[in-house]
Amino acid sequence: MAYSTGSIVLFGIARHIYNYTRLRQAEQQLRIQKQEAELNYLRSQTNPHFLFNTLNNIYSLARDKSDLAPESIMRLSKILRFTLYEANGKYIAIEQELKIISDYIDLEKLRYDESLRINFNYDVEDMKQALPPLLLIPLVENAFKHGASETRNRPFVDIHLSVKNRQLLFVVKNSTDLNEEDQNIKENIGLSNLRRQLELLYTDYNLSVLRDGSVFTSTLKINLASHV
Amino acid sequence: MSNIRCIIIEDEPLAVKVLSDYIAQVPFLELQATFKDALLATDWLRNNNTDLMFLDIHLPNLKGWLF
Repeated sequence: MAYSTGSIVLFGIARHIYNYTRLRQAEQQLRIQKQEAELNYLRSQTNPHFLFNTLNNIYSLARDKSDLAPESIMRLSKILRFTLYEANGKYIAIEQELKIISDYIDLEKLRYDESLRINFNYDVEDMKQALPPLLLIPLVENAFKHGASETRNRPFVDIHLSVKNRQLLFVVKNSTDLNEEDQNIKENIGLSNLRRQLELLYTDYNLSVLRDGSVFTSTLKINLASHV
Repeated sequence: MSNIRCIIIEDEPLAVKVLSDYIAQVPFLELQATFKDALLATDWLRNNNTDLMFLDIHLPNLKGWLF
């Protein structure tokens, strides 16, 4: 009698532990799925203004039968393909992100006259290095949207990327309007979106923005080895 | 009836191109000048008159709606 009571209690305990671990596993699974869904959502917020502006520019080029029209359509198509298909994956090769950045720059250039100065260079030890998609482009977008397009005289955008020993350093500098009323840097949606993605992906990173007179600098440092 | 004199204030060169092409197609519109920002247009307007402005809203420095 005592034995059977004992075995029932034992069975109960074992059963409880089993259910508990199952529940924990399911919970963990759910948390990962939620984070993946959130990351996908954050990445999917491509700027509709960019699409609209670029189409208007291509319209203007096509009216003049400009040679820039076909290549601009191709660039836009590449960007859309990348954001639709490639960017759903967890990783891309760093060279893919760089290609998208240069396509993006060429399309933005259409909106300016010759006074815009752009510098884009990189020093990457391994071009196949895996990187979560669309992590760098938001800072480039901001440089044009809130910087160069607001500058009356000699607008510029300087972009530099280096990856050494799995330490990524991405610096984007741009001209901005000196007379802007508030000198305080307001963090826009693009920037807070990027912050959230970094939070979900890495433990060791730093994103800082600095304004010095008419020059705006954003600096992103990531220890790529700290991926969660 | 005399022509309507107009100016364009727009910072994107391609948009200026499309607008001036459209204006050229309208017989009673006469394009006087184009400006890439509102401050340049202000200077011009000190000594000149116009009837109509094609004014972009998003301009560097001085926004269209503040002009």
